Amino acid sequence: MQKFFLKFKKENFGQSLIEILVAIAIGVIIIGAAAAIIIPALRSNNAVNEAKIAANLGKELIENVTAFAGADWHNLEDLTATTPTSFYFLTTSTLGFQSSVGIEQIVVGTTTYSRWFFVESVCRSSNAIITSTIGNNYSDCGILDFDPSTKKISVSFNWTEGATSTISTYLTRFRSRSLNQTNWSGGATSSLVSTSSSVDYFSTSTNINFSSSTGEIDILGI
Amino acid sequence: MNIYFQKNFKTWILFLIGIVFVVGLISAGLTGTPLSFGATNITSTDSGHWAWNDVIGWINFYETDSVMVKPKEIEGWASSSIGVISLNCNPISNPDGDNLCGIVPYKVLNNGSGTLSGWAWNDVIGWISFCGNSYDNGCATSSVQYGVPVLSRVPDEPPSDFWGLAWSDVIGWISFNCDDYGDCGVSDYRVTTDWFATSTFGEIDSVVFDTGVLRGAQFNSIGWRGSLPVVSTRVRFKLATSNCEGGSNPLACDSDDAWDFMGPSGSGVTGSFYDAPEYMDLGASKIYLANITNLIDHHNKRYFRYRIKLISDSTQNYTPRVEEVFVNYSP
Repeated sequence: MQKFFLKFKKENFGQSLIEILVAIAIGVIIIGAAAAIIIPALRSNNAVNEAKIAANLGKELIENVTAFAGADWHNLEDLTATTPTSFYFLTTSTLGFQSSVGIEQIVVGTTTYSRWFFVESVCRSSNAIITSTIGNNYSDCGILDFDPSTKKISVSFNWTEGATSTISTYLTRFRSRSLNQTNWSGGATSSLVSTSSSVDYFSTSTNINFSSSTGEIDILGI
Repeated sequence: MNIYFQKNFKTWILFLIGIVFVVGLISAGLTGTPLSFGATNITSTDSGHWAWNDVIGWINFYETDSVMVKPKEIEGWASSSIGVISLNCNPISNPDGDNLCGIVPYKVLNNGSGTLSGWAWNDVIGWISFCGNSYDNGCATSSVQYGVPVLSRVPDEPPSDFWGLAWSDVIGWISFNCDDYGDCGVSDYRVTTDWFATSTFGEIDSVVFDTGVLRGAQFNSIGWRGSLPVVSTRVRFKLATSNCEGGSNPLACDSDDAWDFMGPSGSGVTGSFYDAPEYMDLGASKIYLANITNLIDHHNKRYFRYRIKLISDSTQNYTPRVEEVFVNYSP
């Protein structure tokens, strides 16, 4: 074994320049190839993150608009319904969400994102299927087809290097109340305005029996 | 001018009454409408107010100006060669104004759809039976089914003709229509009335309700709870909405416009009503609900009133019963 090492030592005095250059070249190729793979992947990952952030900002705006309409449907009705030329965004205040005309800019990290929404009115067919969207002029879809209690909300968003995306939803004037009357035994009265269901009178009657003990009404004489 | 007018005031009034009378005559003649005067709805035309009996001859149902066919009964009296034939025990059915109902509660009944029954009275021949084909409520002992139906010539439209036979134990059959004996063409007689079998109705306009929604509510539906005893009875609605307590629609509320009660066809359509179909069966009563379809007419309005119309069946024997009315809206 010692003879073998002695022989090897005697016959190898060091690396030649060519060998070093070849080694460097191989290294450059390997590193270059790795970079060619890794850098686009890193870039793609960044774009995905930006898209995710933009989509989340869009979804957030949809939810905010839903809350904005839920607080008072008139908030939404006050906005100009267009297809689509009037853009709005929401700001917050002590009064809740407020609408502003224009496009909202949001900076996250080093990327600037934009988001906005627009409102459209809705036409329905006779069987209540939504058939088209219009602006504020209900006559565009016929007076009996116009649904003033539904609006189409579209939220658009983009960022510096991204394309514009739009997501939409329909909001309805879903809150409801009822006023009811269960008693008419008080008879006719004049010029009364009631804010409750507890009234037991009416304005005028013709041929009505309203004097039952339970307060109900039916036709007089039958 | 004033003095002239005052001096001739009575003359002018008489002149105007004459003008109205003449215009009425002319219009009636042009339209072919039979003229009826006073408290009778028996037609005045000569072939439209006679009945016949082989013993006493003609019976005139118009001459006394008192015979009134009503949905539940007939009132008044007819004239004949044997004197008055009273059709009802109440005071307006006897020439002397006596109320006989406390002594003998007789009357000729109408079941609402024109089938007569019950009894009439004459001081000479006694009771006259209208039977009604039911052998109760006024049928004399007889093996023959008889009765007097009053039938519209055109359904749901006046006039209506009396048909068939009434019975007297003393003078026999009384015929109300020449067709009863096949005499038409030889002697065209019948008793005809403007009454016809149709429904009646009652109506209520509610007070003004304030939703409290300052910028106006959207009205969604209107409905009621109660019962319909037979299919042909109905409950119908109209809805009036406004931004003013007084009913006018201009935002300034400075108009005296009346409340505009609307059905689904919108403003100015008298016959348009919301008809609420059954929504829920609660056993003793049901809930009926109609969606507001003309939404834009009731868009963002703060105040409302409803008009409810209860309609009977055509016999006027059954009425809807309403226990609750409700109006739903979105603030």
